[in-house]
Amino acid sequence: MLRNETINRRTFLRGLGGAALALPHLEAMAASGSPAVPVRMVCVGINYGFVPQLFFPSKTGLDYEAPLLLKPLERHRSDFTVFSHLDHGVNGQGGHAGVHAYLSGILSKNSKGFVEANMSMDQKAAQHVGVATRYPSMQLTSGSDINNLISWSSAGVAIPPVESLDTIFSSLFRKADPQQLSSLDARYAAQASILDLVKTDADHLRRRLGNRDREKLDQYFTSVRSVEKQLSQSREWLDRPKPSVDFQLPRDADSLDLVDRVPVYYDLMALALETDSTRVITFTVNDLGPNSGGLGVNKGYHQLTHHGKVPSYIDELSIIERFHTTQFARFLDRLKAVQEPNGRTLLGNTMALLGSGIGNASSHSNKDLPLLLAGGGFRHGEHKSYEATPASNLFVSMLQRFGMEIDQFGRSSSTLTGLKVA
Amino acid sequence: MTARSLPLFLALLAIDAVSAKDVEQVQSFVQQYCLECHGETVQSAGRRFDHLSLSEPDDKSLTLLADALHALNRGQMPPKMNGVPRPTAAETQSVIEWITQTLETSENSRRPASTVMRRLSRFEYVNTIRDLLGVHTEAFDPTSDFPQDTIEEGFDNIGEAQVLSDYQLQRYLNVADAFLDKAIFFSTSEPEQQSYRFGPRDMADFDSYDRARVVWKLNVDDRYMEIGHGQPVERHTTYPKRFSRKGVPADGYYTIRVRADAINRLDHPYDRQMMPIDHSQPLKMGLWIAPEPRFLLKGAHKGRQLVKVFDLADEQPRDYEAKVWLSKGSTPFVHWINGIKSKGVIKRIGERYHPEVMRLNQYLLDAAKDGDSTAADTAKLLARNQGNKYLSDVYDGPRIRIYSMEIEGPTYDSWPPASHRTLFGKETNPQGIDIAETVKRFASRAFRRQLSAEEVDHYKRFVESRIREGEPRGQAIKLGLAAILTSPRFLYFDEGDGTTLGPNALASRLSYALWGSMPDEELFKLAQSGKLTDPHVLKGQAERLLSDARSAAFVERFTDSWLRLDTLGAMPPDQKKFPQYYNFRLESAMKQETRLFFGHLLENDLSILDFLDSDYTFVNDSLATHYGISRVSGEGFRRVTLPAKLRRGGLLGHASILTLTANGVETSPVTRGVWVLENLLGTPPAPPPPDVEPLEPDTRGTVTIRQQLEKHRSVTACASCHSKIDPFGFPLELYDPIGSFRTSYGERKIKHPIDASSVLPSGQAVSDERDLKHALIANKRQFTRALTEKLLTYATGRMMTFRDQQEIDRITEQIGSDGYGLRTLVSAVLTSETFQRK
Repeated sequence: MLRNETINRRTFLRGLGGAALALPHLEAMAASGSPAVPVRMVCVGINYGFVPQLFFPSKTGLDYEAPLLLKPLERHRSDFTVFSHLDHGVNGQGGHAGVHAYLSGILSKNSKGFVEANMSMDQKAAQHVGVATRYPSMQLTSGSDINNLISWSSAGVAIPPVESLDTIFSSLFRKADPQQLSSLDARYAAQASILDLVKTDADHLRRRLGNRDREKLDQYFTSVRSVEKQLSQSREWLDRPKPSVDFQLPRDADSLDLVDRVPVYYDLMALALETDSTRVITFTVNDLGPNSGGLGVNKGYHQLTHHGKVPSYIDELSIIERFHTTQFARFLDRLKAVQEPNGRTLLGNTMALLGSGIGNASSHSNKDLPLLLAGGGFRHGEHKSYEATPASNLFVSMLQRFGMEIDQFGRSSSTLTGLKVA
Repeated sequence: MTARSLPLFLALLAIDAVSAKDVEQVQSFVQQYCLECHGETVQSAGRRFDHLSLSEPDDKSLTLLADALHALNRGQMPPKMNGVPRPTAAETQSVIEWITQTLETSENSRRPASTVMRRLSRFEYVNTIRDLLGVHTEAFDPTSDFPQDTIEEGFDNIGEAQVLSDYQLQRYLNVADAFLDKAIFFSTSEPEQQSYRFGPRDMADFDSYDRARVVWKLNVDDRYMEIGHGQPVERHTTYPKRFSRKGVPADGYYTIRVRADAINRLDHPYDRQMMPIDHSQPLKMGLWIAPEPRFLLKGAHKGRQLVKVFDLADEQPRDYEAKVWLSKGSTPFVHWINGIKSKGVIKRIGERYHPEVMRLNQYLLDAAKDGDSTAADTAKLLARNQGNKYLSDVYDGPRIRIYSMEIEGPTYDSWPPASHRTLFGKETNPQGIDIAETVKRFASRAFRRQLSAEEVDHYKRFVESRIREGEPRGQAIKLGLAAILTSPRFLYFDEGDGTTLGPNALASRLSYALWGSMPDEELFKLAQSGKLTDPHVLKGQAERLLSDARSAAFVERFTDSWLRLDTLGAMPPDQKKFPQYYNFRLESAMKQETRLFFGHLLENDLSILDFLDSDYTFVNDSLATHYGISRVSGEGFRRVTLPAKLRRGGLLGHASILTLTANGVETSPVTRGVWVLENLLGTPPAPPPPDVEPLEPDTRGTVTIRQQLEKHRSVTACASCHSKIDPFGFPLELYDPIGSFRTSYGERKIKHPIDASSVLPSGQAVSDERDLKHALIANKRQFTRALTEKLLTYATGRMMTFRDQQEIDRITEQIGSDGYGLRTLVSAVLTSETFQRK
């Protein structure tokens, strides 16, 4: 089990920056009199998107009437904003092959010219978190689909998400014994020494290569430096015990139907945020898995998204899509139930984005992405409509709220007009 | 200018001459319609086109042209305003085409003329580790969470496109460690071989099943385990309980012997329509490996590995045996793999044929208690059955019986196992290992060239210093080897900075092209002596590598890259609409067919034109049923001659291709047309103009895909490309999303006959896919050229450019006059000048 422990752990360790170590627990912060409660970010990606007419209200402003898919969210009405006509323009088009640009606004195949490639918003945020939390970011999925990954590093590489609830729970809360910890520590130290050693070979190669090849080798050098930093930071975290939580993972959690697994992902996400184990999470939902996910639909999810406007298909599809918004609403309940030292609820300190990189799966359009932002201390309650506005503008606003001093991200043109902090 | 490049130069001149006329046209278009607002005096949006250099566009001009293309595609420019002259649709169209072409040519000319230093793809990495360490990667492969390699036009080995990230490097570090743990057997003695025999009582856990409702898995009087239900993704597996918590005790070969038979496959009294199994197939037993006990849990099918499928003899218990390498902790298990999938089926049979045994269940009781009167009535009725027999006592349907499962092992070819010997010889005591020698030998193999002691001195010192610091010697040696596996000299191909490859680099290129792995001893030696650059020697080695079993890697990976077989299942067919795709494991059968077909051509040097049409293919029983081929029984694949009425000849008849060009729900002539253009003709169409909104299908009415596309083609921006794409796709509409033949669209009530005719861009009319295949064969030169280019791309790890055209043409001509043999073609590619150039 030791190996798994480390591999899984490594899976989560992303983009550690250079910030100083912060205290692991918010309670500790509060105790020390520090009022600074961090802002968190959760991005949920529904890879088949939503039927537009069931997601977007017809009226804008505060007194819109909630369409079918937003009905489950009614009780949170004053805590979220739904945006229409935001998308990534031509940069995110590709039908299903555009889904992966959800949080970056840039297709991976077009990422070469960009300094940070097609880095996604969550990874940008993770850079800012640095070593302040055990995991700078986490990527979760209810069923991995290698073609629809939404978290991309600044090197333009997709980060494979973790599907197993048991693994996620273990990474967050299961405590390793002292022997495991010391062997992990020795392992990290050994790996660091290896990285130091292989530089000799890299130098040897460098002397033999032409310019274009050297660029490739530079990627190697950059990666070495980055891993060295991560290793030393991982070692520091080994000394800090994982938080204790009052949560029982259902037996055989990973073999449950989708309907029963999705709430558990959300529960674990809420706990991860509450314990400040991480501040940045992405969660994707792809297909339903066996037994139609336990949703009682008769046709396949993908088949239903190709509804061809046939009403019975759309009705059945809306069962699935309503499940997504219902679960998201339940997640918001959980976040609201946690009071944080700065007087806000956990939702008040967490930006929770629900959306997709696809605008209309039936026509394979990547325009007018469904995007709904809850919490995070913004002034909410509206349906806001835009015109020719990059969705990345929303990301800039979110990253600023996250504490980053940036005014540009991906193909953004500015911050998102009208989105204000409460 | 050398003599060699002269014809190429002339060819370029010819291209220029042709386009000069076009340039004039575009120039006058710009003059007439653009300059008023984007000229010397006015520069709307800061753009001016009067300085555009069209004949040799520089970067600035290219950027402007891209902008202009965008505006033209969207129909935004020239603006629709009074007094602004507007071009005709045809004029716009030809300018759009010219700009698209020009941008593409410029993109092509930026491609590097030599291979940019590439690293091992994940596929190559695993194969290399297998050969370098002698480990069993088929049983243990921790690379599944490597980030996906960048795919460039189907290829994952293009140096220019590949990236390395910190995440990947981390994985390299961990995985090297894990693999070395598997390879090294310091201070361990050979585990004792054990023989286990498990009867029905020792297998799985059936207590939790309600015996009354369905025959499922039942220990019948300790004589056999009866299994009445089963599917490829089985929730309830049959495994020896002894290994359910810890798995097998050590790595090694295990012989697994299962005694089983098939019962009542044909001879049963039930309505066959009620039973969704293929009665013509033998009942089959799958043998899986669960790499860790947790994969025995019912929902954990994803991590399991299916290693073998046995056709069971009817009513005749026999032993079925497999020898497999198992990793410590893994557990073998078996199940009925092509069985009845749904419990409901058996329940319905029980209700119809054996009503006297149907039992009450808690669900019914609860419903009755809640006041459901129907449930209450049923409950009352069933209450009478309580003392009767169980369904399983009277059930007569098809099922399989497992009598026993024997497991013998671990055994080894030698001790220490081959992996350890590869690294250290027979010595298992770390104290007896010569560090300098071990490091030098290992690094030479890992870096794919003979190294001097000085070159690896830092590794030797590293190991020694760790030992001095108190690390156990074996541990320190392992760490040294792990470091070598993290070195860029292992991870990247060092092809130097010259124009022609040196012998070491050439040896690697050859072995990675054909084996997806490192050179073997013989190839190493020939590289070392420098003999490999001799054309005869190179040709001989190419032939030798092709004849080796490891060339399966070439068949697998090249078909993945060329035909995009790797994308089969990426858009999974709908589970409800196409259950047979899952129940009969058609995905792997489809892949297998295409790979066997390719391998067959390669092995026998048969004509590559068979890819376009043939009168034979390869099937097992499931795929034969899918194609409507009768009298094929059993899991194994065989070559079958296709009857004339079955139109399965060539790749376009393969279900694999027809499935991977559909999206799992619907077919699209566009996707299939693009596939033909890209992979068979080598002329990928330009990507769609970015701002054209895709059509939203409306299947409520009577609109067919053809009618929808006609609408699409009425848009100028779409027409020019779609008139080149769609005609290749329409004839393939006769095949549904999993490649079944059909003659109409729609289900049940609304049916539309399929019109498979089209007019190819050449003007040739085709009535269906048979005509299309003939048309492709008539154009065999273009196909040969396209395949040659794909092979060269695969073998060199770079995209071909116009500088390579001459060599591609030469090979194309040669193959044409040599009879189009695939093996001849591969050999010509591997001995070509392009292949041997960096």
